[in-house]
Amino acid sequence: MISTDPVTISDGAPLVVVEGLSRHFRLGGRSSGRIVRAVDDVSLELARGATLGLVGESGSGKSTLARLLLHLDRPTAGRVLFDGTDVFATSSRELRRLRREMQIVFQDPYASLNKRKTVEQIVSFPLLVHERTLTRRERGARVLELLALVGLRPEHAAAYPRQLSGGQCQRVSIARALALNPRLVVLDEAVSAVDVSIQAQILNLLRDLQQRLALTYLFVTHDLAVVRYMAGTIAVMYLGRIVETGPREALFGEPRHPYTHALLASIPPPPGSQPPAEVVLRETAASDTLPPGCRFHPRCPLGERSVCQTVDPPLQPVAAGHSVACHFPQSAESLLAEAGRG
Amino acid sequence: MLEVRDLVVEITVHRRAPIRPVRGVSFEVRSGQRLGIVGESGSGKSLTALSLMGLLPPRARIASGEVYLRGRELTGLSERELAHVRGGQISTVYQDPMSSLNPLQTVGHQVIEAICAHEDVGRREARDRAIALLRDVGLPEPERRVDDHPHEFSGGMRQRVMIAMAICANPDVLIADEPTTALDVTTQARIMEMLERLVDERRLGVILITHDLGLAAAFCDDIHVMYGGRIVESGRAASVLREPVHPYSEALIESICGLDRDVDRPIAAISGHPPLPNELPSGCPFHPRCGYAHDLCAREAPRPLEVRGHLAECHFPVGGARS
Amino acid sequence: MSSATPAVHADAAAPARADSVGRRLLRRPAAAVSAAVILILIVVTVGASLFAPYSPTAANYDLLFAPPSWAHLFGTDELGRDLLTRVLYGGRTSLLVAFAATTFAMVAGVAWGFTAALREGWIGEILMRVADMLMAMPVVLLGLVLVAAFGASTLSMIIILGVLFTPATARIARSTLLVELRSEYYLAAVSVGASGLRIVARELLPNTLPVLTARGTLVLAEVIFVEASLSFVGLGVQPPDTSWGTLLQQGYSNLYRSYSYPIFPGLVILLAVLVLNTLGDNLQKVMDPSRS
Repeated sequence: MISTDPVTISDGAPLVVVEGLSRHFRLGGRSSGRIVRAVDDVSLELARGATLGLVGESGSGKSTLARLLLHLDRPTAGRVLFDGTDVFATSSRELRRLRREMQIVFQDPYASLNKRKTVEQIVSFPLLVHERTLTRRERGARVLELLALVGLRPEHAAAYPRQLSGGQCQRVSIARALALNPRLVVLDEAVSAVDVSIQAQILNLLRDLQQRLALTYLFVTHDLAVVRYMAGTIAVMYLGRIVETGPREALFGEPRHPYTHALLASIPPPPGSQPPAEVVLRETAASDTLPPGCRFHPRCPLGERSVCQTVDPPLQPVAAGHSVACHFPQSAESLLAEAGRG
Repeated sequence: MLEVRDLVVEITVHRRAPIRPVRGVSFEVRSGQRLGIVGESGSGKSLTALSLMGLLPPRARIASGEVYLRGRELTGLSERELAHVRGGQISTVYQDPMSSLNPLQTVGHQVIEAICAHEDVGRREARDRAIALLRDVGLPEPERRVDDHPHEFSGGMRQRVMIAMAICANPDVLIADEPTTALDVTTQARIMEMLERLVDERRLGVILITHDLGLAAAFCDDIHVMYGGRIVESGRAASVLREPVHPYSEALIESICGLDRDVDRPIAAISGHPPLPNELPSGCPFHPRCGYAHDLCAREAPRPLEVRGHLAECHFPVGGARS
Repeated sequence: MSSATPAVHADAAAPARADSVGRRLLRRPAAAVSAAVILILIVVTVGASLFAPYSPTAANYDLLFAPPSWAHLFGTDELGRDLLTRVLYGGRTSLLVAFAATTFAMVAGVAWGFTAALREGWIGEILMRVADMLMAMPVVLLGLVLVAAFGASTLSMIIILGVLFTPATARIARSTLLVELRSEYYLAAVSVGASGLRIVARELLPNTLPVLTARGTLVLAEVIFVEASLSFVGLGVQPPDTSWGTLLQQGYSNLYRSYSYPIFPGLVILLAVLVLNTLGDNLQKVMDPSRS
C-alpha cells in the first residue's frame, strides 16, 4: 500500500512488511484449553516516511500486533520483515542492532517510565545500552538535545516522572524512543491517556517530528478522528483480522465494511451537523471462541446470511489500494436499506 | 430539584496549606434535565460529583457551600441519613464497571441487594423487579442472565447492570461519572441511547461528567465547563459548542481532533497543561494559557458575566461568532 | 512548525521529597519509636566496649546472683559478672549472627526467586516447589537437624539460619519481580535492546527494593528469635561466645537462685523482635497503597 499522504515522499520499497502474522494464545490447561486468536493471519506494509493507522476496539489485537512488530512477543505464525530482514529469524546480535531502528511509545505515560529514575536517566538509557563510547558529557548533551526536540526544558532532566504531568511524561517517552535515531516508531495508543488539550500538542509534535526526522509511524488507536488526522493509510481491525484497509480518503469517504460503518456512526457528530445514520450492532455475550464463518457476523446487521455464518471472507480489493474482508461490502445507505429489509 | 451553591471542597495536606480542588461551584438540576459537566484533569469535576454523594475520600471535605435535594440540605447529614439518600435519591454510575461489581456474586444478587437496601420487598418480588430492570436497561434474556456472574458479561453489559443498580430505587438524580470512557465506541453509543430513554421515561435529572465535549454536546441539554475548580462557562449545550464565550472553551473546542479536522494543518493546541489544585495561578486560573490575557487577568479572579445567553467567568469574553 | 510549547512544572522538586518512603514511615509513631529503639540496640551492642559498665570477664565472687541494684542494673550472674555487660556483649553476637544470616538469606533468596521468575517454565516451577517443601518444615526443627548434621558454632549458625530463611525470601522475591515484569517500563527497556541482566539489575531491582527491605526486617526479627531458641537448647552459639539465647539458657538453669537472671535476656530478645516486627509491618503498610 503506497501512502497517499501528501506530506511524505515514499521511495518504493516499504520499510516493514508483515506477512500472514498470527498470534494465538492458549487458555486453560496444556492440551485442553481454548485458543484465543489475538492476531490472525494479518498482512500489511508500512511505507517509508508515512504513517499507517491501525484502528480497532478492545480485543481487536492491534496492541498485540504492535508488540509483535517490535519483537516484544513471538508470533505463532507469519513473518515480519524490517527493511528486508526477518525480525524473528535473526541472531540475537542482529536483533540487538535492529532494535535501534524500531521503538515504541506506550499508552500510559507513567507506567512506561521507571518511577525511580530521573528523566535524564530514562532518556539516556538507550544510549548507555548501545553507544558505549559516548562520554558522560556527550550523553548529557544528547539528552538535552532530545528534550528540546520534544518540547521540554533542560530543567526537566532532573525531575522524576511523578513530578511531571501526563503530557510531559509522554514527551519523555517520545524522547527516549528517538534517542537512537530509529526509523520506525510505533505509537500504541500514545495519546489516549492524556487530556484533550494535551492530545493536540502531542499530535502536533508527532507530525512535526515525522517531517523533520523522516520517521515511519505505526499509529495504533481506537479513536477514528485521531487516526484520520495522523495517518495517510488506515487499517481497521476486528478480533484479530484486518477487515478494511485503504487510504484515508477512501476509508472515510467511501467505507465499505459494516464494522467501519458502525464505528463511524458511533462518533458523536460535530455540533450543528446531522448525526450519521445509525448502524445498529447486535450485542453479543463476551466469548473467547471465534464464531464460524465471518468473525463479525454475530454483531453484523447483515449477519444472518448463510454465507456469512459459514465462510470467512478474505481481504479483497474493491478499489485501488482499498480492500475489504466482507461478503457484502457496500455503502452506508445501502447497508441501512439492507438491514432494514431484515 | 438538586441545587448546589458555592460548593468548596478542601483537601488537607500534611504540613502544608490545604488545597481546594473545587472552589465555589454552583449549579442546579431539574427533573428530566440533562446536565453536562465537562473538564480535563484537575478541573474538579469528579470531586464535585463525589461530594454530592457524600463520598469524598478521607482527607477531603466540603469546606463550605450547600447542596439541596428537593429543598433538603445534604451537607450536614449524618452518615446514616446519607446512606439512605444515596441510591434512594441520588445515585452514581462510575467509569469502570469491572471494579464496581463484585466478581463473586451473581449479577442478580447484586441488583436485588440494591433493591432491598432501599425498599421493603420480599425476595420473590425483588427478583422479579431485578429482571424487569435488567430488561429495561437493554440486557438481552434477563431471566436467564440474572444468575450469571460479572465476568460472563461484556463491558457494555456490565455497565448496563451498574445503571440498573443505580436506578432501582427510583432516584431523583443520576450522576454518570465518565460512564462510557472505558467502553468501546460502538458500545458507548448504545449505552448513551439507553440512558436517554431511561431519563425521559423516568424523568430523571442526569449529571453527565466527562472530558468528552462532543459526547456532552450530543447528550446534554446544558453544559458547564469546569477549569481550575470553577465553572468557567455555562449554557445550552449546542450553543456552547458552536459559539463559546470563554477563551478556554473556545480553545478547547479548537483543539479537539474531530472527524472534520483539516488534515493538512497543525491543530491549534493550547500551550501548557491544566493546572493541578496545588499549583493554581493567581487571578483567573486560565490566564497563563490564554491567548487573550491582560494584566488584569493575573491580578483579579473574574466574576460571572452573562454573555450571549451563556454565563462565563472572564474579564474579556470572546466576542463575535467563532469563524 | 511545532506549536507545542513546553510547560515548566512549577515547583517541581518540593512536593516529591515529602512523599518518600522514609518520611512517611517516620510519621507513624510506632514506626519512629521502633526505628529509634533498633538504632539504640545496634549502637550499644556494637559499641559494647564503650557502653558496658564493667568488663565482661570481671568476676566478683562476693556478689553472686545479685538482684538488680544501682551498681548492677541487671544484677549479676553465677560468677558475679555484671549481667548488663554480658547482655550487651551477647547482643553483639546475636545481632551479628542475625544480620549476617539475614543478608545471606536475602541475597540467596533474591537470586533464587529472581531466577525462578525469569525462567518461568519448568525450571521456575521446580525451584518454587523446592522452596515450598522447605517452608513446610518447622523452622526450629529443621534448624536442629542442620545443626546435628553440621555442628554448632557461630559461623555454622550464620549459614544454617541463612539457609533456613532463604526459601521464604525466594518466594517473595519471585512474586515481586513478576509484578515488575508485567510493567510497561520493563517492556520499554526490552524494546531498547538492553540485555537481560542489565535490565534486571538496573531497572527492575531498584523497584523491588522497597518490598524486599520490608521483608528483610521481618526476617531479621525471626532470625533473632530462632537463634535465641537454638542457643537456648545449647545447639546454637557455643561458649566462650555468648548470645542472648545462651544467657537466657543460663538464666533459666539458675532460676531458683535468681529470679531476675533470665528476665533481662528474655526482655531484650522480646524487645528486639517486637520492634523489628513493628518496623517491618509499618514498612509494608507504608508501601502498600504505593503512592509514587
